[in-house]
Amino acid sequence: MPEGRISNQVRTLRFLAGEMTQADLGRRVGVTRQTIAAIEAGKYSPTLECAFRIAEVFGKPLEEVFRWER
Amino acid sequence: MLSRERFAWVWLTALAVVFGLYFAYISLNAGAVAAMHMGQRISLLALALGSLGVIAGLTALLGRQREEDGTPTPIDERDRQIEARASVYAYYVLMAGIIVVGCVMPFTTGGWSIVHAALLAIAAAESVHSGLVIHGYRRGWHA
Repeated sequence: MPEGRISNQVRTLRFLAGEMTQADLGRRVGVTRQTIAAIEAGKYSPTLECAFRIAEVFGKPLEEVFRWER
Repeated sequence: MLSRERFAWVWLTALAVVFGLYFAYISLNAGAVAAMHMGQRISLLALALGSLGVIAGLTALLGRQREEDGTPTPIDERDRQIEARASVYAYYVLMAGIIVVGCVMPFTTGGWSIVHAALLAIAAAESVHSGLVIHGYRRGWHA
């Protein structure tokens, strides 16, 4: 299996969205605030569906929110 | 800390303390325990299992996590994935223990040894489950 990790811009995008709270984003995506915190900290890789929902909230394509880094 | 992680910590500690005390008492007082009536031995076991039940019940009742608006924190995909992984590994541990208890021990020993081995298998499986839940929340989870 190729080595790598998923990085994301969720924290930056929340800031650009007027300091949207983790709880607010979680509510709109359908996960808990703790899960958003874990995603931002790189401790949890969301499912594809959740990733698409997050990107949709920010109005960005998926690849601008999540990136695969080797 | 999420209530599910907190519960896993309490449960892991309770398993170690209750089963630790129970098995320490059984081994240190082997002679006295062997002389006990069946009812006394069952009561001793019920005391250990009952304490675990009370601890689990109180933790679940008092440690329920709530959102800012007072509604219970829902379970989401991360919780489900952590729970699923922990359950898979715990199942293998339990299966290994039960194979020993059910398929090997009846031919080599009997009575309370089998009961205690089954209890150890369950405790080991539960410990693995709680340990992996804690690991999933603290160290992260990547499918």
